[in-house]
Amino acid sequence: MGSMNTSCNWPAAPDSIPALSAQSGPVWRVARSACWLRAPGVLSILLTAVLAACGAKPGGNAASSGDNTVKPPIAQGSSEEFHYDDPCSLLEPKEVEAVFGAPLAIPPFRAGNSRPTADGEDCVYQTADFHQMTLTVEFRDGAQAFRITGFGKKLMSTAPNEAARKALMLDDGTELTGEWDEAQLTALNCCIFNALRGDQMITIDFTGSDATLPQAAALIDAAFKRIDKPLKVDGASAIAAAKVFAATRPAPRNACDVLSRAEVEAVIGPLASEPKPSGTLACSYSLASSPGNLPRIYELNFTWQGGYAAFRSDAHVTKVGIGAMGGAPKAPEDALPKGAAGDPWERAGVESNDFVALKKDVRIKIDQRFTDREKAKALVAAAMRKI
Amino acid sequence: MRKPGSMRRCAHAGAALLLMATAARAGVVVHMSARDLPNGQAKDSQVFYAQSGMLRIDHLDQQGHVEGIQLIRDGVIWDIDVTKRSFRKLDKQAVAAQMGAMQNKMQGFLQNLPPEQRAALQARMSAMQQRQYSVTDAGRSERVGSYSCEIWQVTRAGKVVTENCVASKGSLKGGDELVGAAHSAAATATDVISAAPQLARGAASTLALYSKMDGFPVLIRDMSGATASREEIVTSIETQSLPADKFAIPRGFNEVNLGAGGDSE
Repeated sequence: MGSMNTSCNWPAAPDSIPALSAQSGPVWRVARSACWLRAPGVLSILLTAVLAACGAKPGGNAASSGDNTVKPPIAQGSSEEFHYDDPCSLLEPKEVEAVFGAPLAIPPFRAGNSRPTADGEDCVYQTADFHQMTLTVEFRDGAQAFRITGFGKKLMSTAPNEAARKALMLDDGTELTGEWDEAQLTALNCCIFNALRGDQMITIDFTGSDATLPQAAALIDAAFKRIDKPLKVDGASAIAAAKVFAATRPAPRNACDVLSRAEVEAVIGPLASEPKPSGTLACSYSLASSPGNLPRIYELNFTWQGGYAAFRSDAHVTKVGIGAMGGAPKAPEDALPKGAAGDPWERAGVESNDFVALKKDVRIKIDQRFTDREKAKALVAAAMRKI
Repeated sequence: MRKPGSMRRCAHAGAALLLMATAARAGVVVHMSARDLPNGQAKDSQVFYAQSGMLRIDHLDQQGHVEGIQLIRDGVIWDIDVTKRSFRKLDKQAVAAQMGAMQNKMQGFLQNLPPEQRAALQARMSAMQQRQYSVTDAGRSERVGSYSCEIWQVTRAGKVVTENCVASKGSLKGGDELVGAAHSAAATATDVISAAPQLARGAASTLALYSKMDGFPVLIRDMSGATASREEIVTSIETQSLPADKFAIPRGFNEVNLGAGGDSE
């Protein structure tokens, strides 16, 4: 509230006393919070008229000083008056649900830096199993943001030419068009699509979902069509629900605590030593090696949050890397088959050298090289059952 | 619609409360814009809503959106952070509690300081408390849009910090309502501020001098030495019946403590 602070003359805290500094000092912060009361601009407005009308003494008419019974006067109607620049107001939730192929677990909510935030510029859509898409809207200064986003592509020498700016060509040869002047994918990522119209930019990150680029682009197209007349969807109203829902995610734990030693040995055989953890991220299990053979190590790797996106992004990078070396890979983003009924995972399969499984946005993978592949897969399955 | 001037000018507390409870009275809406001087572009900065003794001040961001609100009614100042969807209650009790906590912490800090630093800080605080605002009639008038106004200067430590050009309430559309609401708001502010002796000392002389004035500032000019650095002017005043929700905290906003800085996270 700059207009208050600019005219606040509360003195600066002494720099030599950190506890009193503006950054950390509760003392100064409290003082400043009340400072506007004597800020000349505000005070003049409040007080000029005052006392003037009937010459009342200051404070004489204060209705209920120190009266702790005064309850907040809450509005009876909705608060649409303050609903603007809300990234959640550009899409109908059912449009997003159609792309997910599943209902949203909670209403779309505003976020910033991946945290629910009432004034965040992101809108997050999540399903019950934590598949996620994020719509980010730059309601102004979007052109500058778009250039910055495109800078990475220029460095990669894959910047689109003039003709390609408006219509992106998909792998199957179809063109992707929509309500934008320019569009591009973020460099080195499969699934972050940026579109610019005028000075407004909309970005959709669908890495954490199974959505395709055409589906995501269609959402941006719909969002641009509504940007001048947004919906009444209030992304700040679901902040509390988002926090509650986030608490239901599988909690990260020490990687070697997921399975007991006995459970591991039941799958892969007797261990030669105690399991070696790398925090919550990995646990290594070494089997006794016979003379002349390589030691066999099974290492479970965990991604506790963002597992869907991590898999999809890693697969894309692998694809780009293989392509750069002249290879012709299959589309690895589609590589993981859905689990069958009774499987402990949502999707699982072999990706590059790893066996990878996904469930509730958790990814567990194991490097299959120098291991018994069936045992490796069984170890992942045992771990997934604990998620 | 209430006709201008029909409201009793010197409404006492009981009458003011009665008026506040009366729905659908005529209200006043005052728009202000601000610009940096000498060449800054003017932008909408604040909007005042006054009705039935209640006052609401909207603070606008660069896009003209409301980012914060002060709602002054029922003897309480409600400080609303629109971006954070939160609000804080500022009344005498809350400010006194905060000031008490602040003083305790200050004492704790002082006791743990080396004697020289402690003495230096105490001297600085003492000097700080001596600096008071004063308001004087500059003896000149100006014209702001369609309003004629008299310049009042606010000085601190002998230096002019702002100039306020005050238009008489009789010359302002809805002037009685505006002044009445501002009167109530100022009384509330005075009461709240009295819980903070440091602030109250600084404001006392200002309040006394303001009581001489009878109007509303249509221009506020921030001064830096002899040069004006910023000015804020009234761009329009309208009268209209304002809904009760205009003077209420929006639904879904969360209350935070006074010391929380409005951060609801």
